[in-house]
Amino acid sequence: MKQLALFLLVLLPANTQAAVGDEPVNTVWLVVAAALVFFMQTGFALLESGMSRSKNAVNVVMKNYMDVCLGSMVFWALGFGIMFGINETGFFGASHWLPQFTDEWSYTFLLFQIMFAATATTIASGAMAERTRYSGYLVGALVITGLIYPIFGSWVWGGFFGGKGWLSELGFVDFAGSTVVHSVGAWCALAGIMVVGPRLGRFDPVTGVARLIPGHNLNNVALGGFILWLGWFGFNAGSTLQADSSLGKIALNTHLAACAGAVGTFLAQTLMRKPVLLTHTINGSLGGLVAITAGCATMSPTYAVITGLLGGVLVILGSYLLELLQLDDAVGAIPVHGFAGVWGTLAAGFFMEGDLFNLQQLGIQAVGCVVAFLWAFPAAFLTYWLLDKLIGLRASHLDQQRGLDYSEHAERGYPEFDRLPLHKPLAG
Amino acid sequence: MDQQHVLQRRAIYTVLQEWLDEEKMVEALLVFEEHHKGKPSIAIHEYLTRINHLFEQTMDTRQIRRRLMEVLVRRSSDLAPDPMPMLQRAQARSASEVFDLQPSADQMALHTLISELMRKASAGQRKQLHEQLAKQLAKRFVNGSYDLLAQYLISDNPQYLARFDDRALQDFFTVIYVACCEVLGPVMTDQWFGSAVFQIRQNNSAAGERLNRYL
Repeated sequence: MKQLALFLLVLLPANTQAAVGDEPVNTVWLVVAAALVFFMQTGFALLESGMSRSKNAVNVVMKNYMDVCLGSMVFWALGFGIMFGINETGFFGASHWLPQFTDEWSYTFLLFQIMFAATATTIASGAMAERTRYSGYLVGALVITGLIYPIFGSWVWGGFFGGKGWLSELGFVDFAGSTVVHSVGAWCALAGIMVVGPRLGRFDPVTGVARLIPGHNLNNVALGGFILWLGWFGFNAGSTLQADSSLGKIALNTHLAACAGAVGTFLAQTLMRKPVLLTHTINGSLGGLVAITAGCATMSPTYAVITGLLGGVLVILGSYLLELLQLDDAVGAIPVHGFAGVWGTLAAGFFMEGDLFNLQQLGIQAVGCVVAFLWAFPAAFLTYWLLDKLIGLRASHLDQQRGLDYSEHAERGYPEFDRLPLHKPLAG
Repeated sequence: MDQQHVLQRRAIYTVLQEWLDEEKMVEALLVFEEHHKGKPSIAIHEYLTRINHLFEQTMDTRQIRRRLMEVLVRRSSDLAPDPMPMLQRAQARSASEVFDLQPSADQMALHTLISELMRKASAGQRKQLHEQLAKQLAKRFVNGSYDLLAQYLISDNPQYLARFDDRALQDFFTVIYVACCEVLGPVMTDQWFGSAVFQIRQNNSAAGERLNRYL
């Protein structure tokens, strides 16, 4: 039995190998980290609802809330087996459905990974906010959590119980998921916004110029940004899967990249002579956080700052690019998670400590980024397209006029302060 | 007069008589005149889909299409006479009825709201709004309703609204909202609509309540 255990240990990726064991401190750390990652959902909910109009605030929060609930169950039942089950082909795991483990550590690991899956799923909710029907969105979230995310995840992180993902074999590095979690979520979001279309009046029909649709509560946006920042310490440092001395550097890199992201946004906006908006600044920080996620354990703080800074700049450039293409991302999720995610993944290869500026590694990283797009985008596009045809994804004009809080949930986020009485008062 | 068009109209009249009573027949022919004039016979399925939708999908469009295709290749002497005189009589009757009806208090409340909004728009915005509304209304309103609503918007006369039920007027309001979003942008639209509704509710709470059925 001991020999079998040793054999399995040899097969596991380095970080998981080190973590396997009965050290209670590792379990405590991972459970705390999982709780921090779960807390990020609060951040997403506040940030996304704050960036939406008041008539859609409840709907955005409901989507964040329910995609955690449904996503956690489907990832536990199906996604975990696909992502971490025995992966003989390198393309998907095929064991551990509805997992029952013999060791306690695996349960801890499952808990942590469920939170990651929920994070990948929730990215689309913000991008598609204010015009997507609740039911269609939730079914899409189930497909992302149950299939799209875990299949790609198995290529990079797969083989916890045997085998190894093909991208991992190739040498692709993504420590905490700039690509695996964030880019995959962003490409799903991109597919979603292309299928569902822009919000009413978002683009001028004659000139095509984007019109600003400001959110209803910038304090919530700021609070959400701070909470996400806090949660990211669990996201990145938790990915060590053990409480060891590397946590400090990972957390420091995470923090510095977030700061640099905001500074990058500030510089980009100032140089372009544009107003430095709060929403852009916070998205800049988040871009820095997404960018450092892949290389937070393998970069020196100097490179973490550079990575975060460029992540913030890319968020701004990406936002303008989407507007130019008349793609309506309500909260800027695609520049933050997609463009900054790609940059961070490349940076993780290029700025790897002890192997700086290795072009071969950079090439491998680029392959991983392209593969993530080629898998997640078409799969999500097909999913959303089918959902649109079968059950309807876009809310009707009347529902958008009334606001999705009323039309989808029959309640209002701000009944006392409602200054836009564009919908029927609720009965009673 | 285009002979092909007359032939199509007679063929439709010949075939649809088997399925529709006279009132619906007139409606169906008006739709044909408004939206399918000059289109080739092969595009007849679009017309059938449209009127099937208009009559809440109670027609067997596949069978009707087959019958129409059969009838269209017959000699013209086998077809029913041109129904144009009947259509003209119906249109004249409809025009005289417009001013027989008086708008209800609910409809007057809606009229107040729409007038208020249109007054806020500049001349240039109103022109753009009317262009957008024309497109949207043409998609959603058929059978003379389009003309009535277009005339309502031009004349600002609430009597044109009197012929519509709540559902149609709710649709009409949504069309105006969408057009405003396109022309003015969603933020200004919500502000204008919000303040207009708020003002009506403040000035006349009963009218404000009545508006609810259309929002």
